[in-house]
Amino acid sequence: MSGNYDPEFPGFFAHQVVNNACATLAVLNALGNIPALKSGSQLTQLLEFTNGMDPQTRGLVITSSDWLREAHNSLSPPSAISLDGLGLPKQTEDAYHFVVYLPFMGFLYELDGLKPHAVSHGSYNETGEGWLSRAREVIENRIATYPPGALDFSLLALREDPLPLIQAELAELQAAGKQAEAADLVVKLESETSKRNRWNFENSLRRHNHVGLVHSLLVALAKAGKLESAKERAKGIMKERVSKAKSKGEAMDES
Amino acid sequence: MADSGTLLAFKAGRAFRREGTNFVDPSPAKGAILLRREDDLLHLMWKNRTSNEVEEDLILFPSDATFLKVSQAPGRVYVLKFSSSNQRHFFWMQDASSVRDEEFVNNVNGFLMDPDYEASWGSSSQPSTSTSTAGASQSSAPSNFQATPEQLAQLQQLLTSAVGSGAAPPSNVSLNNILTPANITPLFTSHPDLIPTLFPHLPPDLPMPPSPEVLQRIISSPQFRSAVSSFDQALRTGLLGGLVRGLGLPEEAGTGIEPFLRAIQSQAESERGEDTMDTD
Repeated sequence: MSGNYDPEFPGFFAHQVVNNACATLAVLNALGNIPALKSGSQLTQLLEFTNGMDPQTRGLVITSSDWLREAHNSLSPPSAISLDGLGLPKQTEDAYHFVVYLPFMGFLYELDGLKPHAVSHGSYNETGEGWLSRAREVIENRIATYPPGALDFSLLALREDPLPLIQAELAELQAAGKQAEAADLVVKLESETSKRNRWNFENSLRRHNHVGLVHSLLVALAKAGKLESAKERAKGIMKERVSKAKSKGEAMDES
Repeated sequence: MADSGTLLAFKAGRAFRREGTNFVDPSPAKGAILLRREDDLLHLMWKNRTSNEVEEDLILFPSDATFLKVSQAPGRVYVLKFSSSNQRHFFWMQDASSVRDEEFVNNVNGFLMDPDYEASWGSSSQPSTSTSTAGASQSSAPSNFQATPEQLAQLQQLLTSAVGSGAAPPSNVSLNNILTPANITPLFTSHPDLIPTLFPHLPPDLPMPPSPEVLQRIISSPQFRSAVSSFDQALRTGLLGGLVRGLGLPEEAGTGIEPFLRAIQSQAESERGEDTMDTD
């Protein structure tokens, strides 16, 4: 492990106590350390309530928060089908583990809900990119510990919503008649808006029960007389995959 | 006693535990349980009514065994349980009518407790009849000597655990490989009239109106592909009989990938027939 445990970390650090909640927990571990965060009453109360608690207790309190659980679950697909308790191999269970990197009092910290303590990666230079360059170094080193070609990394940044700022600045520029700068901002605004449209699209897909669509697509294929051929093609794909996997296995045996 | 030592008899089949599991498989063979006293010992025998052979002969000491209904399986399944050992013998009632089940069971347990027990029979004052031959008790009542295929299937379902038993044989077709953009996109041009049938099934809160382009985006999306994958996995458990009824399909369509696809093909053909049945 790179970095050192800091059991005395005075910031917000909660343990992950539930499966499949690591992303939400990571977000909370980040939000809990943002000074003067403007948050609604529920989050404010949660953060205040857990003040001074140890990581394990914090984790338990977070888990028992109803509004948080509802928010977290609202983006899972509505299950007409529950595969729980059937002993089937789980398809994606915590396929990714999320970990937070953030600056705290001049040091770069790594908050991992599955580790006993916050991890300190030392101090950073305030000049230039500041803490970001130290974070980049640490993250790149970590990625380097995986086999070359491994692609299973996802980097997210928690930032202030730029939309209100852009809108306010745009209004100012337009009022001041600065058309050129205003035009630049309009482009930025459009980019932010289309991002949000994409997120709304994705979320509506996440919340939707697709069984009806699956069924009607298959019926449409059948009505068009194309279901049989699609089936045969699918069989071929499976055969190919199986023989590829087999030959890979054989190749490995030879080495 | 009419017969030498037969205390009671009734039609019953046997069922056997599948080794190493909690599954019990019924045997369709027509048989009968006979309680007999021979040489002062109580015997519980199982006789095959087709071959007339006694295939099971258990000696029972007083209060050593009980004959109990299997509560986890609704239906007429019983187990002979021994207090002296782990032995379990499973049976199922084969008389078409269950009216006398309780009577038989009570009397069996009576004898198991005490060999000198005196059987009591409901309204009839006659001692138990011996049904030692298959054709012997042809009564006017529509009693069935055979277990109907339905009864057998029902029993199978009752006795065995849900996952695995009702499922169709594994399929090498994955729904994800059928519902690909490559297969669906050509429909937009070849059968544009089918596209509006898909719109009612799109998310109601889509931030844009439904269109072929949106459909294409949805089908290529990770959310949709993940949903297809889950449904595929669920279908393979064989347990979706109830769910597929909601799609207008027969229950059998929920037992696996192949049955599901076959049912879809039929559904499409019958719907297409309706589409072209315009009267004028």
